[in-house]
Amino acid sequence: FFLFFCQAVFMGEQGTISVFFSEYNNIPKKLRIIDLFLLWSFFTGVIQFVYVCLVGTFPFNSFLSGFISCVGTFVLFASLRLQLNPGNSFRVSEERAFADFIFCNFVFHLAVFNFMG
Amino acid sequence: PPAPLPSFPLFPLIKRRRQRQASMARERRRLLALLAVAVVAAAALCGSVVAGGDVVGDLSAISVGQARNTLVLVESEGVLESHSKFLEMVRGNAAKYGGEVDVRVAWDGGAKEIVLSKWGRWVYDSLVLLAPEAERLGGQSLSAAVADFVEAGHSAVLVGSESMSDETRKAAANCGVQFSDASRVADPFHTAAFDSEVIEASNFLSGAGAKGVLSARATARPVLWRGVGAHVAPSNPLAFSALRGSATAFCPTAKGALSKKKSNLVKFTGTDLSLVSLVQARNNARVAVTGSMAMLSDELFAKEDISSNKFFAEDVTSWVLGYKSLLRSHGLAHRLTESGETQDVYRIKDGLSVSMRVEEWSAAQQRWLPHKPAASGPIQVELTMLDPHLRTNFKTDKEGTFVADVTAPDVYGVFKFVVDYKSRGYSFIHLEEQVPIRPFRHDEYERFITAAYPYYASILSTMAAFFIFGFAILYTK
Repeated sequence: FFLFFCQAVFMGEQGTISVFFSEYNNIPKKLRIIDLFLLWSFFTGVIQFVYVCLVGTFPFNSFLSGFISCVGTFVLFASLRLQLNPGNSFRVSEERAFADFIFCNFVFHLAVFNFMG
Repeated sequence: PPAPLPSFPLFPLIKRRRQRQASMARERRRLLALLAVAVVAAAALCGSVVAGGDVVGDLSAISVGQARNTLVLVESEGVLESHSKFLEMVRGNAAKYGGEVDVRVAWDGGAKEIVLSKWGRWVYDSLVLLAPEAERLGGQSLSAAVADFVEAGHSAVLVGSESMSDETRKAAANCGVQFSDASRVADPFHTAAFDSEVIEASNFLSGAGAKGVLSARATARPVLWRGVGAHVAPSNPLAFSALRGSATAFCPTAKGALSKKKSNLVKFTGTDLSLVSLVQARNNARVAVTGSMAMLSDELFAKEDISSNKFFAEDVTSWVLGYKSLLRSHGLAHRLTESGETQDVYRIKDGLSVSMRVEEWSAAQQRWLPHKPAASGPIQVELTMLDPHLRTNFKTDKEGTFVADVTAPDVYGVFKFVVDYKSRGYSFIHLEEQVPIRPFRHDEYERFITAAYPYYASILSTMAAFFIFGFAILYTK
């Protein structure tokens, strides 16, 4: 069964990965931009985590605020992407989604900047 | 004032009542006047006592242990002659170093006329007891009198003998020195040539504590000794032995010299046997206890070529009477190192300076000189909160003040600087000074920490990226 699974995913034109790559460029541009930011904040978070593993947690509050800024903005952008995705069943207007997004980011960055210390 | 009597005589009862009230009022006034007089008299008496107390106040140079008025109590007139050289030495030292010596004879175990304290003030401030058979002193039993005396901070020399009274034994036991039940100490390998009873003891106090008590000439030759041995418990931090028995010394009793069953006798054997014991109490009162009257007698003092009895006795009495190795300390002060100001509360990681003055009495110059810790060992100061967080040695500066520079630890709380100096042979010093230490205020922390620069960078870059992407999302179709 495992072999069958791998074949289905990785091989052939109908495999999941190749379908994914060919279909990706068809999704709206906005969502692709958001995906780019998601990648950015993910890698920034990974870099910080590796750094703290190497150097230690001396200014622990600074580490937390830096890490949380990456994770939090990832979450906020992801939720914006969910709300803007035309395929989803619930619908708020785009303006409303974006306004919520701006407000949440404002509060979030305020907290993070103060916690940095 | 009572109402005027009614004119008509139909109220004789009322009249009598008013008379009684008037007489009671008179009584009350008389009593009040008496009370006022009594209060004024008491105030006058108190005032005179306080004013009279200033007479003692000018002896501020005297501290615990300094002999100014010594009482030497001898057994009988015969002792005055047989110990004349010792008494002459005591008198001579007192004359040289300032002080009076009062030699009194105790007869028939009484010594009733001698008072140690009068009207709550001590008449004598040090005591040399050459009366082993005395039982009472100053209206009290000897052991109680000596115990009170030493507890008040005065020094005493207790000398026992083969025929000493139980009170003398008890007095010595109160000081931590237990006399043996045997009546002599035998040492077959160290007996004096001229008398088989006398032993030659050369196991002197040595090591770090010896310099404060014994001088080189006292330990140059053995001490000739004959009397009752004693034992000082090794766990006793205050009592120590200036002269021990050699390894071959023992106390022969009727039951034998050393019994395997009774461990009581093991204490009085060999180097556990203490021939001359010294005690320095926690209030810095000094007591010397020995079981040998003969050690201080003229005949053994005279044998100067083979013994150092004279110098040993002189050293021990000088130590006890406070002519040497006497310290006084005062002024444990603390301040910040840079600004030099003393604060109520310090902050963690502050640089603190603690200083103290310790002085040693110089009998030769009759004044207090700065103490040099080379002889007695370095003095340490601790910064303690339940446990010592810091401990360091003091350094002396040029005026003899002891100074130590420390950094307040990273722990906050209520600390205290403690100087607890217990050097054998020198006075004990114990000073404490409470020092609260507070944590950082919110604006005293480090501002931009180098190790956190990556986090600062990530946060700022995330905010910038959000700004840019926000525009990008808004303005894309």
